[in-house]
Amino acid sequence: MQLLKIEWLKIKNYKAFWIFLGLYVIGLFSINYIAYQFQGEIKKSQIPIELFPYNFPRVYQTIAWVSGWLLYFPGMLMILIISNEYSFKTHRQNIIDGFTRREFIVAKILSAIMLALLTTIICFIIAVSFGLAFSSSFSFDGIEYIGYSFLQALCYLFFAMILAVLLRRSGLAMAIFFLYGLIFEQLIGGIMDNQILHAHDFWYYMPLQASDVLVPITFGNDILYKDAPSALVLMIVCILYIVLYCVLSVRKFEREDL
Amino acid sequence: MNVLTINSITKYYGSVRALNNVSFSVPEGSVFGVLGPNGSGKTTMLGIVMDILRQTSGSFQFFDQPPSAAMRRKIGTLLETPNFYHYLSGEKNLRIAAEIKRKGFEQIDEVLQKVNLYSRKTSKFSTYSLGMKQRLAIASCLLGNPEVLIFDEPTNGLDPVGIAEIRELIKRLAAEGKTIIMASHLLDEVEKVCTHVAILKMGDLITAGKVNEVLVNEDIVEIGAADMQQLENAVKNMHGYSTLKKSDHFLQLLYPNGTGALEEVNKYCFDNGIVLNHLQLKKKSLETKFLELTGN
Repeated sequence: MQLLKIEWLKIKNYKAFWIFLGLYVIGLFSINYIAYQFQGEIKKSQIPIELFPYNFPRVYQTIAWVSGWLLYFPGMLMILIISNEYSFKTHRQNIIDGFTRREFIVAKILSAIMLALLTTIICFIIAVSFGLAFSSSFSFDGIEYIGYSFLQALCYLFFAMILAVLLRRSGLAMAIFFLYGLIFEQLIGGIMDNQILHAHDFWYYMPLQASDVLVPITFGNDILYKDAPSALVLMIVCILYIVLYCVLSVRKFEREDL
Repeated sequence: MNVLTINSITKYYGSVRALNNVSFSVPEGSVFGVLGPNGSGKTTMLGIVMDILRQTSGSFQFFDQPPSAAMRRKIGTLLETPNFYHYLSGEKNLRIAAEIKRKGFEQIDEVLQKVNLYSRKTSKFSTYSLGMKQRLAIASCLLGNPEVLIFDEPTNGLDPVGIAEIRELIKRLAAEGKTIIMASHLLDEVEKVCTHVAILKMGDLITAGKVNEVLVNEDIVEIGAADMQQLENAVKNMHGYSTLKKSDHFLQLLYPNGTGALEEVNKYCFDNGIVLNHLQLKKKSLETKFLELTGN
């Protein structure tokens, strides 16, 4: 709690952080509204496909998937709060003032968990409000997707954290975060699966993809990811990645010159 | 008791050796200067004892105990540059430091007043001048009223008034019985405030000990008379000094440390029929000594 209190003091009066976070929350509502409108257009055109169902029980999955696209933004915030410490050299000052090296990095791990919780809670609120608006009865069926999206948020945030800890500079870390997540993971995964292994054995297990497949688009389970590992296997893979990122960050921060 | 003991610390940055088997100890209540030219390893040394750099080999103790975070909380440290969150005010920055040191916020106003920064406490750190940043860092060191203070180039970036203020502050802290470890490349700073000194050069410890023993090992007795030639002939037969030097207007007699007695010189000259019109005891210039020690 002491660690979180200190992290709170660091961001409490950090305007850029709150503006960014505010825009992200607005973005979450907006992107879901766009998806909802899009579904409305599909319906109007009499096409018998339900891309983005915004009624219970499938609203949870829709919102988890749509919101997943915006996880780069809390990831950027994560990179920002870590690389700030490096550029202000406050990571040194915190140790000098009496943090242990482990306390410093654990405080960042706790911050990541808090950010993931925040995005998940917001997604849940959006899901419930859209669900209530567009269906006749309330339901908790499919709520596991909110849980999956929490795990997905953790995967993105801790991936961002390890990039920031390894690279120290925000610009570089953000560039690699975006390029890897949006392009290189698909590229490497595609080459491995299609050219080398000739089976879908690699891509599903890649750092961000494992969590993405956990939260597929509503028709994804049947069409896109037919041969995907079970949710349980994917969850285990995600957790292993998260543990790996945390252990590596702690080790790097504890052993090296700061 | 020694506040800090350093046992054969060696530090490599890759293949560059920044510290070579350095050992010394800092006695309680001393103002300990770590003196050396830029790049001599002063900051590396202090970085290691503050746990932000890892030594390649060797060890150190605070208060004869292995180092810990709890001990760092009891030491006020300013290392290299003032490190603060640019987007926060001076006061908010000190709150974070106080929270990490597990001290209350009630001291913040007091330490800000001590360094004359109270009136700007709500301004963002990024708007501070270099001198104000430095003073905020010193204020942060004073939080919790620590018994040991470590200052790395504390007067860096300050104007002459600021420099004098900080030196006064350091003297005041020393008078309160606090132990102060201060790195500096400024000789007269060390001479003016320190009781002990360690001299580093290219990572080697050249010497360590009390300032008056390390930095001054010769007395210079400067004499002058109306007839300089007569004076020179007279003192040539005098004993006790090691070297005779002629400067523009005076003669300089170099004595081993502590043996230059003005009375004797005066009496000798008077007995030899010379009345001195100039008689002064000078300590060897620190700068000369420093350059000598560091071999430049």
